Amino acid sequence: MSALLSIAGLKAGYDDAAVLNGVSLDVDESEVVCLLGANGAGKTTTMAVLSGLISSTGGTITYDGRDLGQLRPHQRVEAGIVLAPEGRKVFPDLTVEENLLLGSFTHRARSMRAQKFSEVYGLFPILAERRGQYAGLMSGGEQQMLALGRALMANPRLLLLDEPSLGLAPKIVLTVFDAIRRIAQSKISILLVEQNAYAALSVASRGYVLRGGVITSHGSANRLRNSAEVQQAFIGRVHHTDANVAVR
Amino acid sequence: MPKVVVRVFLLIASVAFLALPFINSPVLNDLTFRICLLIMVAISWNLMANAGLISLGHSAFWGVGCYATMFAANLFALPLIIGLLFALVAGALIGLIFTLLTARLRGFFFAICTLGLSEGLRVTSLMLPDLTGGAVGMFLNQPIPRLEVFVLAAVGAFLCIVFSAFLTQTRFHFACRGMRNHEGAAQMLGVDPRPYRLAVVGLSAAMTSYAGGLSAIYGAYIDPSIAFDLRVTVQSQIAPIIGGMYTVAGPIIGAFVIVVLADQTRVLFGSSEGISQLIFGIILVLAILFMPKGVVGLWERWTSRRVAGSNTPIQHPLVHPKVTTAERTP
Amino acid sequence: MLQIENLQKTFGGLRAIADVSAAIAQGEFVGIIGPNGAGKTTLLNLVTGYLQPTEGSISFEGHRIHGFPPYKICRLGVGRTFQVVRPFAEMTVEDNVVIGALFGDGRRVSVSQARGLAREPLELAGLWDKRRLLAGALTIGDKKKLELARALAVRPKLLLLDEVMGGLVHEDVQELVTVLQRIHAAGLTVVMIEHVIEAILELTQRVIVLNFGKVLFEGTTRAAVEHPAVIESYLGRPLDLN
Repeated sequence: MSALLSIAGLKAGYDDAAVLNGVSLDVDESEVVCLLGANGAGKTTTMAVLSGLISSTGGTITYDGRDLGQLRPHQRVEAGIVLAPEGRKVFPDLTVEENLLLGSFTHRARSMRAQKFSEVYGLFPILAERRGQYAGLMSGGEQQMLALGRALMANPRLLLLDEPSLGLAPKIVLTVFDAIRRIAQSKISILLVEQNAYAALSVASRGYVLRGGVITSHGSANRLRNSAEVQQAFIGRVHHTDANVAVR
Repeated sequence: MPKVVVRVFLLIASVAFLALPFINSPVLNDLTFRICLLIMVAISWNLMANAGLISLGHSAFWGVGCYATMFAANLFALPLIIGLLFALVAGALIGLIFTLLTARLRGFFFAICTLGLSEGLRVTSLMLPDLTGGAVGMFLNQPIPRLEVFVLAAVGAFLCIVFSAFLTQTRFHFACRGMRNHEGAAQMLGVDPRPYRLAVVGLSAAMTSYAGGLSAIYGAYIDPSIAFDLRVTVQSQIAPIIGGMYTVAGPIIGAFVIVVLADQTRVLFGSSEGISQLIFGIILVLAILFMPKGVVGLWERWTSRRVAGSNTPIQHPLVHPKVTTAERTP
Repeated sequence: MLQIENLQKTFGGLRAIADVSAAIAQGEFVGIIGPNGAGKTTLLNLVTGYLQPTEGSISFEGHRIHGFPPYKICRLGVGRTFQVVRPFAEMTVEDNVVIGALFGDGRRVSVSQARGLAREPLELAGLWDKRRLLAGALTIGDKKKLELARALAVRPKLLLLDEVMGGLVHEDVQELVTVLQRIHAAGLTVVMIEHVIEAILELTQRVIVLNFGKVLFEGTTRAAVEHPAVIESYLGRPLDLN
């Protein structure tokens, strides 16, 4: 089975500073892949390049057999690549329902709008409860669920999640990752960037480690979780007892 | 460039600048006069902008200076230099009172109020014809002391330049930049914004009033629409933006560029009505598009490329306030 | 050192802080944990003067500080970081910290003196090598370190940290933990809002748990993470503390 997303030798950066120096990774259909790395390693840059927000300076990105190349961000969303950005970035002056509606903006999504609404409200009942509330007044966890819901409204084939656990209370991290697990079950491919490596590896089947702008190791989630490098750099010693998702 | 060369250059430039008024060429004198005035106004606008206070009402201070100087000259028959002192004080006072009244306003709302100030003053002077001559205006009832006017313009501009360069070495500069970037965070570092706001607006207003006063004497006639001419507001911003906002050299370069450009477009295209202004406008738009950081920004980018290997831009104290230079390699 | 009594803060109909009392003694390292929206940052904003309490009092070193503007509270010896980072984006990292050194203490310090004083906070936060970068160009983790360096530059007696570990991986968390341990050992009193439990466990002796604007629990860190109500409302599941 050829990969849904295939990145080879990707180079990118800002102004004169190179951040990515040749990154290669794959995401297959219906797979959850996590990208681990320290602050500044280039995880968010990778997400930005994939969603078309910044252009690459080298390398190729192949999606569904086609070279993503010059595709503008809105065209990528149309093709099914949807980003849930770092820091949630919900529209604070719009209600929950309006935020979700805006997620369903593309042609690809519009035709399935009603179905998607029921999917999202089923996945996140609290959003259904609060559908008339202004997004800016919600707590961090609720906003994260809204951001995920909004991304789902766009009917993605490849979901890019950037730091879903950032700033969230441990209990909410559990909830959010539960939701991610359920999303994965619906055959959507997910590329997950996360500081909380333990949580990420609990939900992904494979992972890559990004250091200094290149991939330094990769493998199955199990292998990475047990690797000394990953443990030393990314995994703390404090976990929930059920060991499903760790609190760092 | 080694420091000595820079210092010698500055010395020669200063002497030449101050000596220009004594060259007896009306065209040259007029040109340098207008440039000097715009330098003062541009530096003053830049000073406020550097503290995060965008002024859309610099004409207010200009106009206050115009009337203050005219009054001094006509009503009290005072020598020009005293009249200009009046202008300085009047301008500073208006600035201080305005700042106190708008103490709670930030950003956009502050800017709108400055516009309100200039328009309000204009209308007020229209409605007090006994005081200001109203729409009929005021004529200067002395001969124009041309040499004095040119010298005082050059001295004023020179002092403004020196002062703005000096300020960049001080705590004051840091406080202003902190306020500009994020006033809330600056407070938590111990910056009390109130005295800085007052100082910045007061100084800025005084500089512009001085320039306005000089222009009033030179033109020998003012009325509310001339004194509170919105074009002053426009030019006060365009000059520093084109030259390079927040820098020392930016307003100066911008002033040169604007005055010379305006003149040249008029000379070259002045035959048909409006074409010269259209071209002037187009050039400005293009400048903003391609040089968003102004001439200074362009120069910095260019000189940084020249230094092969390292990405350190060359920062001249002339050009850039003496703060730590920003490198681009993480 | 810091005394909060019967603090209340209402926004329109919403009671963000409902009768919170706490006392922080000198030399302590206290953690504040709680669900998102519990009022942790609001509490910090009240203590540092960005918000005025509806009722109640706050005093620092015996003097009342509620009602004071932030810059006054800073000069009395309180430093803080912001949860949503607020670097001075158009200035260099070094200049960001220099501002703190210039104004934070109440004493008049010259610019060159301030540059010297800025060195230590920059080195402590691990930003000395990056001091000439524009603050706006930093990664989120580095911006958090800059928040810390700036707060340290005001030479505070009490340091209030708002989720300073957010966005850092384990390695970097450990680095910062070491730094905080060092400055705590040197005499600084610290209050830390945090979701990164690892840091709370390693650094704090005592924890205040907030929920819905009230104090849910207060006690030793260990007791807090094992308390059923805390587990239920905040941790979700018990921690495995080996």
